[in-house]
Amino acid sequence: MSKLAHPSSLLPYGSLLLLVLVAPHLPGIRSFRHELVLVGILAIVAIGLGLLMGYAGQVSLGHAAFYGLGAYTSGVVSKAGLHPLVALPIGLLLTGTLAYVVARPIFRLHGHYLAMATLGLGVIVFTLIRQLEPITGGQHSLIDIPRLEVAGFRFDTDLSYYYLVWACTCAVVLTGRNLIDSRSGLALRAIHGSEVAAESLGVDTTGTKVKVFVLSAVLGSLAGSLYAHFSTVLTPHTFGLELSIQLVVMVVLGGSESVFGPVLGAALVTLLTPIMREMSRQITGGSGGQVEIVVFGLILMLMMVFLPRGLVPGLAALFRRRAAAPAPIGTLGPAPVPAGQAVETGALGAVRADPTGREPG
Amino acid sequence: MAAVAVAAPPLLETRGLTRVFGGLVAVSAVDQAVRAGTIHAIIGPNGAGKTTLFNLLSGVLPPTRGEIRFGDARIDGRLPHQICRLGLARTFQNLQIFANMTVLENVIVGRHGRSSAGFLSAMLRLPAARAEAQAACTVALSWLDFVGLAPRADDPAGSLPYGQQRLLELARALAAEPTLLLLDEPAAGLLGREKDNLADLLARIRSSGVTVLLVEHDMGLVMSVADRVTVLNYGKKLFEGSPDEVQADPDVVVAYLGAPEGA
Ligand SMILES: Nc1ncnc2c1ncn2[C@@H]1O[C@H](COP(=O)(O)OP(=O)(O)OP(=O)(O)O)[C@@H](O)[C@H]1O
Ligand SMILES: [Mg+2]
Repeated sequence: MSKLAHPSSLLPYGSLLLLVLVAPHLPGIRSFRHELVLVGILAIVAIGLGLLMGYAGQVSLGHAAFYGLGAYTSGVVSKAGLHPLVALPIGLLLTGTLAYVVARPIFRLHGHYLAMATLGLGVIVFTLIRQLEPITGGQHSLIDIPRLEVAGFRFDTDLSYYYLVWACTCAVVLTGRNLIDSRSGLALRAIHGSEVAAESLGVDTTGTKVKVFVLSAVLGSLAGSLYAHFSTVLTPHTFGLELSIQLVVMVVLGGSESVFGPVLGAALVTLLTPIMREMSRQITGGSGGQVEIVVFGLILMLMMVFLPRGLVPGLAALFRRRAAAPAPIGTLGPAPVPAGQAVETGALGAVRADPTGREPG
Repeated sequence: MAAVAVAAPPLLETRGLTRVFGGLVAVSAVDQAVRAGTIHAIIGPNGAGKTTLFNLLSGVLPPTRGEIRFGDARIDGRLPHQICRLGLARTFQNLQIFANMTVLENVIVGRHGRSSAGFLSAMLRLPAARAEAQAACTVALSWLDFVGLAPRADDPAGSLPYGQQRLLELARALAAEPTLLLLDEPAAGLLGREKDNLADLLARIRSSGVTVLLVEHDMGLVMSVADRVTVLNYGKKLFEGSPDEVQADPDVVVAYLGAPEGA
């Protein structure tokens, strides 16, 4: 049967859905709805970046640029009078095209040139946003971006926007998981395992990596558009290197093997940042940003040393060990089934059944 | 019958195929034809250029000079994934299994060139993509069964013993349904009974219509399964003939006396 029907694979998705539905009504959390919207938005960017880092094995240090491109396209185009739902795909198209043009020549080269190129791209986009004052407002910000209104419903409260954003986030989680479990996801894992073998078995390694990069850029743009109509004000410094680094921290913290990792990472980083800022203000009595960067650097180093696969796979392994303890070895894993039955689980059943501890999806 | 086979154009043909590494000519002006339906062995001492030849044929390395024809197509200069889709699959002397996957998943990757679902249909779980994934799984399982690894389908590939990892590479390459299969030392590290099993598999692969190009140091295996043998030495083609002719050729004996393992 289809993989979704398997109860153990449904559990994390059901839990996420339940959490998303009730979170904004929980007593202690109600007052953080605004932050939760931001978590959902940044989780979308982080999932895309996670696909790139975990499955194409490349780091982007400029994902804030794609986020910014989506945000400013939505802002500028909808201010010019077009409907936000028209502005959004224009942003996606623009960002996707730019990502393709940048990535195509870079992925032909081996090694980590993408990190350098995206770093440069981030600086260029940031500078353009700041300098193109007549269009973007520059340092004076782009203000009065219209709120999203669909079929007469205005998404103008934190709660309504929360549900809109998290519906998108959940859709991205699901489609991302589907991708990981698919032929293309397997091909990406194969590239990780042995690039020469993958290529010799018919995997267009360059093309596949480019596609992941474009997808992750487009997700960044989508999130940016969502941000524009939520914040209604865009300021250049939101889209600088600092955010690009934060996004990498989210992915490393949560882990990139599973689509849940970046979501958790986005939550932790977004919610911890104001706390850290406050703490550092009290400690240093002023320049807060510096301490933040130091803490993020520290988190990156500690994760690399102690939990290189991220929190989610680490926790999942721990949970699995607990659950597995009372049962004799072998009863949890899929028993060697006759061919006919194994076929029923589908190619993807094997992904879930991977006993190495890889988190499904 | 024999006359017909000789008249048919070769499945694979190289002309003046050359690969230079710095000052070293690893493959030197090799003219080689491989006839369809045969097991053609390439032998030669260590460093003779056998693996480099495979890397040229499969597109892993571009040739410095020369032509490669596969079926109707010129394939020199093409990328490995393009060559694979034309029907050429290979295994690796230094194993290249995907240790981060299960045994079955390794073989499913072998179906990549024979399937087509893209990112979008995968993300949306379109019925066509799911059907294709299930079909790939079925075919992969049947190839695992062919090499005798079906019981280990769900095990992590890295947990297989060495000899079974070689069989896994064989199953993975077969899953691509090649017309030409390049095997780089498939018997290396195999034990006696495993070698007999391999010889048996090779014969069955040939009788299924797949042409095999075999690099192998185990002369017993080569002489028992090969229809034709080419000897490489210092990148050059030294000799080509039937297994019996090769064993009788004085040049070949000399070339092998220089090598530690002898002929
Ligand atoms: N990528 C490379 N760069 C430089 N030199 C190489 C490279 N690949 C192979 N060589 C050299 O080319 C020569 C032929 O090597 P090759 O691996 O093709 O030999 P082989 O016949 O497969 O040997 P063996 O029986 O040991 O596998 C050797 O001298 C080797 O050192
Ligand atoms: Mg070799």
